[in-house]
Amino acid sequence: MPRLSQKKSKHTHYLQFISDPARLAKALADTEPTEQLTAWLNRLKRLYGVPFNYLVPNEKMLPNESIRFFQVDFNWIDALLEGACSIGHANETEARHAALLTAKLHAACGMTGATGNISAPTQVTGFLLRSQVVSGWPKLEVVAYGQDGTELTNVLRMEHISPSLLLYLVEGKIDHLLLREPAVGLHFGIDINGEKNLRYVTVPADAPAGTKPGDQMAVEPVPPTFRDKGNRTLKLNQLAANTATTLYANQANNAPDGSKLPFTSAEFALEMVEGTQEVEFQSNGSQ
Amino acid sequence: MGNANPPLEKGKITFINNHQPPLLDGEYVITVEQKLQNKNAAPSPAAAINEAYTNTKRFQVRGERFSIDSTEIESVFPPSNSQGEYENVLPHIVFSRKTLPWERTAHDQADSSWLALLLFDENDPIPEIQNIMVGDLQRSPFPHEEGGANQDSTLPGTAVSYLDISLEYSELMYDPCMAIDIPVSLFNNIVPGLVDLPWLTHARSVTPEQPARMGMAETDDISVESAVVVGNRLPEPNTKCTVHLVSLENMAPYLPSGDDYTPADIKLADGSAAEMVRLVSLKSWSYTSVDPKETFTGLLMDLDKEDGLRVFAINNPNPSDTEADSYVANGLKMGYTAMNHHTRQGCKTVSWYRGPFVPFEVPPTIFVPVPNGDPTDMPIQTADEAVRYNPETGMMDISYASAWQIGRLLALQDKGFSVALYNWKRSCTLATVMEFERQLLEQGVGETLGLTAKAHRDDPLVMHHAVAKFIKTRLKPYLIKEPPEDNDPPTGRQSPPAEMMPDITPTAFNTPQGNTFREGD
Repeated sequence: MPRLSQKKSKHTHYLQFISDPARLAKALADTEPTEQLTAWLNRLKRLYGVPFNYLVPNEKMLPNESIRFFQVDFNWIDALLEGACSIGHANETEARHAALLTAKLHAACGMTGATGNISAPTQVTGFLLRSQVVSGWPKLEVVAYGQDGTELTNVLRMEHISPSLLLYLVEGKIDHLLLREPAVGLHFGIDINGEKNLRYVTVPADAPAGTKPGDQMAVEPVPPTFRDKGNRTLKLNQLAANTATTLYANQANNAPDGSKLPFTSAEFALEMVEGTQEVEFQSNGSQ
Repeated sequence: MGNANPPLEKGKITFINNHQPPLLDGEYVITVEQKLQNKNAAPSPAAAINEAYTNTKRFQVRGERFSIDSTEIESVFPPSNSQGEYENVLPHIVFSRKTLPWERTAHDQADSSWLALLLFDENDPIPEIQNIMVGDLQRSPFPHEEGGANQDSTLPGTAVSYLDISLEYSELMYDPCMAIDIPVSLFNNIVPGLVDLPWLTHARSVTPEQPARMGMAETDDISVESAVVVGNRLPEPNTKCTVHLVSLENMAPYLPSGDDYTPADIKLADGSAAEMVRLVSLKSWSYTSVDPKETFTGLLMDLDKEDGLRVFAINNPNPSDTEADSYVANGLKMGYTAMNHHTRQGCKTVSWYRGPFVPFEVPPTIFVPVPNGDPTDMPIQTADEAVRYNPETGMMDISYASAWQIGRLLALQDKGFSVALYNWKRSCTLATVMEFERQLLEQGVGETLGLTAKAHRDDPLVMHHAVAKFIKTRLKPYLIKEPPEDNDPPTGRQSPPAEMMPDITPTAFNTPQGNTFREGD
């Protein structure tokens, strides 16, 4: 029976005790990190607060009007987290603890994505876009696709670091991505080349299979006419009449029995709607 | 629609010709008459009843007329103060009230909408917007304030305005409104003709596939109905344009007519030709139509992307074949950049640094206690432990060391986090010490006390109580009766003896406030 009063022997015991990881782990089995800690580390893991010149050390890496793809180096992230967990070690006891506790903290904080659930992704990729597009279209939509063509939905971070710089991090490996104008941009206009391609209002029997109302027609586009070129004021009535004529000629606004359906401002609006632009980027295989 | 290879967000949009409101704006009279009569053709005088009761109620349907509440406007396109490739885009405005454009009419044959969008650009020039009163839309003097005397209208002598602004209920001559004065020649050129009016307005009902995305999850109504007014003029490229939503109420006689847009004969009251037309501007916004090169697609297509899309690395401008150069080129290709490095000893060198964004897949190395790693690995104590040295070149890689250091600094900077982390670590240390004490007691006196059940042995409190009870009952006769004076008041906390706790000394970081170190607590 050891003597309780022998401080020295006890201390060696204690050091032995904490240098045995198995026993230490058992002692710490019930200690769970608080929500406050894991939430903060989760944000740190997604590189919130890290100075930008640590992320992009050289401005040549990201010139003006450029887009750069990257993979996230988890070693770097681990080192970052470890540094954050390293405060307050003063003696060997705490260092021994830290070995276990840091791992515990690591395990407890995942990366929260757009979906809101915390996951521990094994691979994170992303891109940095530095362009006037970012400032000009603040509500730019980004859709990233993996190699098998599925959409990558767990967006870990999508943020304007500065008005013209967008950082995007997503779980998985980006194979190609689409940058879209915000969908509210559904608008009215004529095509870029100054003509107006038409859409089916109703689908005639001889249309290609799978055609839906609203799909583009493969007929000669209708050129709009101006009241006078200088003022760029459209002759809407004439455009509407020409459009209606073309539609009827192609059986694209007719009832099933072939009779003409009315052509009103509703049909005209359908013909005049222009979609939003989107641009696709294919990342090259060297990543 | 561009190259629609991925399916766009599904949903349905239905275009509707118009939404005529059940009643147009204006005053109405409703009369109810009730007749009471004896059916018998020749009744006795006492039973002869022939009376009629009438009741008349007047009511008014009120709508917007000289101004539109901003809550009725859902959105405008192109967005206000935006810039983009709008030279092929007709401006439009969306109203959340689906009947708004048809509540009044321009009084043409088709009873078209009373609203139109007029687009002006810098060459026109853009008419100045003026704050006026409703009375300024007509010629005769009117009171400028409640109970005020009649004063002259500000309508210029050469201008015409609305034909009939007889006020409706609750409208006042001194209500404020906005107006623009347009030269007649410009008005004739840009205002929609009578034949165009029916094409400028329509209604829409949008049914998104996922209503929640449009913030409508709480209503059962999953389709959004709105009314749209479209302009009839395209902006010049590279100009700033201003769009005015104007009221064309009863203006049909002034609009160009026929397919060749013959200008109407706009005359003043004295028969001479007018020079200006004054219209109420219900809303105005501006945007800039830019060079097609600076469009969404144009900008993205012009992004710097040699050899496909370049990844995150510096382009080496002048590659050469010397060994040193190829070494540097490799480093750059791997996403490294050379940084000046002041070592702790104070000498200067150049070291490689790389951020977390790298141009290739990095295999996880094992230098930090990875989750579920070997717990015997001691964590990094200083940043220098993470510096990597390449003996072949004599260069150091300080990426991970910098990461560690910046993480530490960020943690120290955030007081809330650092205090919470420190407290949590202390509670963990305490748990360890309790466990150690329990083991000690178990080894020492467990069997003596007969605490053989495992459940008892695993709970430090049970152990404590057992030992205390043992001391109080079995050892009491051997204890000193009166304990010596003790200055420390009992804390009432279960804590192990002081000498068992590790020494806690304030370390070399800014001590969090409100956290005092109590020796041996």
